[in-house]
Amino acid sequence: MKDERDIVHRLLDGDIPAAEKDSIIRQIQDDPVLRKEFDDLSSAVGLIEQEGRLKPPLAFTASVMGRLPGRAETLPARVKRFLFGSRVLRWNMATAMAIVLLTVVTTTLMMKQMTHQEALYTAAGPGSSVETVRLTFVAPAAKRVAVAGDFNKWRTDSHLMTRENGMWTIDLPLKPGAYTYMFIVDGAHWITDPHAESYRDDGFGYRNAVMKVSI
Amino acid sequence: MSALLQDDEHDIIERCREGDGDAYAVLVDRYQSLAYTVACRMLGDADTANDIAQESFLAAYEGLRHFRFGSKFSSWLTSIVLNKCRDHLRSRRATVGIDEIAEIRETRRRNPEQEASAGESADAVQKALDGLPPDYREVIILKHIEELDYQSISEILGVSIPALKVRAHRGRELLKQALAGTGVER
Repeated sequence: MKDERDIVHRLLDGDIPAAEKDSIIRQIQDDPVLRKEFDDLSSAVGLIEQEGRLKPPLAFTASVMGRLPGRAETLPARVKRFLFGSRVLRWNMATAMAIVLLTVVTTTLMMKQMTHQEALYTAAGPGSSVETVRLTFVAPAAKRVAVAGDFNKWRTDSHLMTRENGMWTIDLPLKPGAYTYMFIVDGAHWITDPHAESYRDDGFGYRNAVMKVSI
Repeated sequence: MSALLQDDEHDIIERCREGDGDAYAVLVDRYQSLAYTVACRMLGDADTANDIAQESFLAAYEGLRHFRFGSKFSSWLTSIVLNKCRDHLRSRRATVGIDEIAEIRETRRRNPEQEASAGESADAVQKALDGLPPDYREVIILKHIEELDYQSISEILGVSIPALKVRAHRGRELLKQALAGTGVER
């Protein structure tokens, strides 16, 4: 019986030469004891084989990589990896949320800063480090004159000048710095201040007037 | 393994030896299932198998400078996993009584994914494997789960092919007996 069992195991191991295989299979089929032995063993092996591989936990690779000891990379290897190495972006929800939060906070702070600067340009309060600058423009025939510049984001209707004896004037509270500006006559004509301290090309074929404010 | 994959592994191992730890992630990702399955089937416990498989990858990384090109990384890794499993089984036997081992086997824990897919058949197979002597168990796992040929198994275990066949024959006989009373069929 032992030799006969060996035949079954040799068959399961694929050790039977092709020429002998048919006769061995016939021998097993003809012998009820041997056939049961073969069926039972085949069934047991089949159960094991159908189990196959198991899935490791999802974070397996990340966990191993997190436990690797730190190693000093040689300079050529570092350069090669920097230039040719592929990169994998690893992220998690906490990091993503932190980045979103940081973006929101930064944007909010920048907007606040811009609003604050605008407020300074338009209405600087007493005691702040601003200087009042008077602009004048002679245009007796004009019905309406305004001034626009980078101090008011080039708005044409926020800083209207007042007329006094044919001369248009306005007082602007401004922080120290250099500002470009132009006059707008009757809401349509952009005129460069002929008495400006200096001028700067606006990139569209015109020259902006420049005033410098210092304490 | 294809020649392309082996060339690829040669490059990866060279990069790891130069200190590029990130390159090792490719090998871990490629062979995590192999290491985990072998450990799990040897030990019958998912959590311990996870630890042993991870430690095996760490040991392989540490020992990469000793790795001989020409042999397969997977075979080398498998031998490391099996060595660690044997060490663990020896230490468990030394510290836990026979009755307690039986209890551990009965109450062995599985991770949720396994729990969902583990049926009656999987439990019966693992119990039958647990009942085999470790020498037989490792041959059965490599032969019938990893589907390796005897030449590869011989290289991994350092045991002659005739001796491996004897272990496989005896292991299969024991499995047949263990599974006969469970009513589980293919």
